Amino acid sequence: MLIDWFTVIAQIINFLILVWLLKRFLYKPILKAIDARETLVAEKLSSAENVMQKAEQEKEEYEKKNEDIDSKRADLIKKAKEEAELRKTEILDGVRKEGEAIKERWKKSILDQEKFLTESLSDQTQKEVIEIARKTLSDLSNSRVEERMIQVFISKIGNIDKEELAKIISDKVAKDNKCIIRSGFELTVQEKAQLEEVVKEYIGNIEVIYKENEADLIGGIELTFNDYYISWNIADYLQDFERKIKEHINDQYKIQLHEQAGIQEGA
Amino acid sequence: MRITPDEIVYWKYGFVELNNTIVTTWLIMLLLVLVSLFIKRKLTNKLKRTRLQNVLEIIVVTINKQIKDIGIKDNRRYLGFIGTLFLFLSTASILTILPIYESPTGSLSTTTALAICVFIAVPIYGISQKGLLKYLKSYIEPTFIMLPFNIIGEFSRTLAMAIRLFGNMMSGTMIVGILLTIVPLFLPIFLTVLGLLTGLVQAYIFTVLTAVYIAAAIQVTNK
Repeated sequence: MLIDWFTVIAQIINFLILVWLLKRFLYKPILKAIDARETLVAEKLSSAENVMQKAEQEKEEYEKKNEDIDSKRADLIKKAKEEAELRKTEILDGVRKEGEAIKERWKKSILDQEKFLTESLSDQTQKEVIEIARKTLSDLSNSRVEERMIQVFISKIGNIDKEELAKIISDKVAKDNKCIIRSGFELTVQEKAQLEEVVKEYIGNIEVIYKENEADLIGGIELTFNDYYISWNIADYLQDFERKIKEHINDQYKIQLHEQAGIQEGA
Repeated sequence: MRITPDEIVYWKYGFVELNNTIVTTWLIMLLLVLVSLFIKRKLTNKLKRTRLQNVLEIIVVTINKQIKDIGIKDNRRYLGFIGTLFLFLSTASILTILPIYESPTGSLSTTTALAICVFIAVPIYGISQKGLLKYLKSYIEPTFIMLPFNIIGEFSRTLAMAIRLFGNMMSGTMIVGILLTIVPLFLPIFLTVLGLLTGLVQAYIFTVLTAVYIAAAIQVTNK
């Protein structure tokens, strides 16, 4: 007999035991592990997706921030350029103004120098001229220059038209009975007497007041009678001389100034 | 020449006898359980796992998928029964490459026992899924006249399963035995390989047929 019924029963029991054992030790643990792993994988994938989304979001944020920074930077650079331009203009203006001021000061100092030079030259010239005249006169005629001045002055009074003089005198004498004689030097007693005589002769018997050593009359003498006055002054000649010198100096300085200005503009 | 390994008896006490079939079955059971325990000890649900675990996972998942493909939706419920059938039968077949080994499936007693298990399991699954009345009603479908044929079919297919498996497994051993006497060298090796293939195919057929029967028994609910 091919079928042994005891073996059949034993095999049925064996098989059922095997089913139970494998269920317990193989299928359940392995399926559990597979399920757990699938859950894990799903979780990991979803978390990876989340991370990706977050990363994407952050990327967008950073890009936006970068754009903001770029635009801000451009604004700042623009602003800085404008400020620099403004500052440049200010500095240039300042420099220009300062240059102008220096030029002005320079001009003024030149003018001052010129004035000082002219004045000192004129003073020196007057003194020198008088000195020369004095020396010349004393050498040639053995007389003081002041003496000659008085002579010339007297002759000048003598040269005045008598009618005109009389007219002036008739107007003036009633008002004031004195005349003033100013001189740049000391008058001797004889000279004073000469002068008083001339005054008496031509103007009338009026009081004569002397003002000697007047600084503004270096080599001159002046007679003031009310508003009317007669004078002889070396300054009259010197003024003419001074004018000529001034003109000459001015011409020289003008040329120099012109050259300086040309150099400055070129710089 | 033996037709069945039942004939090798190691120990006997009256009705009870310990033959080669039972001992070999126990050894196979022991092997399967030991491997399972070994794997279970090192089982991990992390992404990195041992190669053996990977192999077992592939086997279990493939069986599960096959059951599902046959049309059983609640496949995990039947994995224990169907999967164990396949693992037992295929292990029994693969081990035929060992020299003194004689497959317990080469015994008609074993195949009958398995066929009886299927014969009993199918109505149990059907009733538990559909209820007794609905299950019994399936025997008179499509008409009442089909009842005897259905009952005959139920028995005949169980018988067919048992004998098909037994015939195939036994014949493999038999052919090798016969050929050894005619052509002792080389050819038996090829036939052993062929026998191995036949055994695996039969294990697959037995398992798939079982799954199909179970699927047929529970199909009404699935509609």
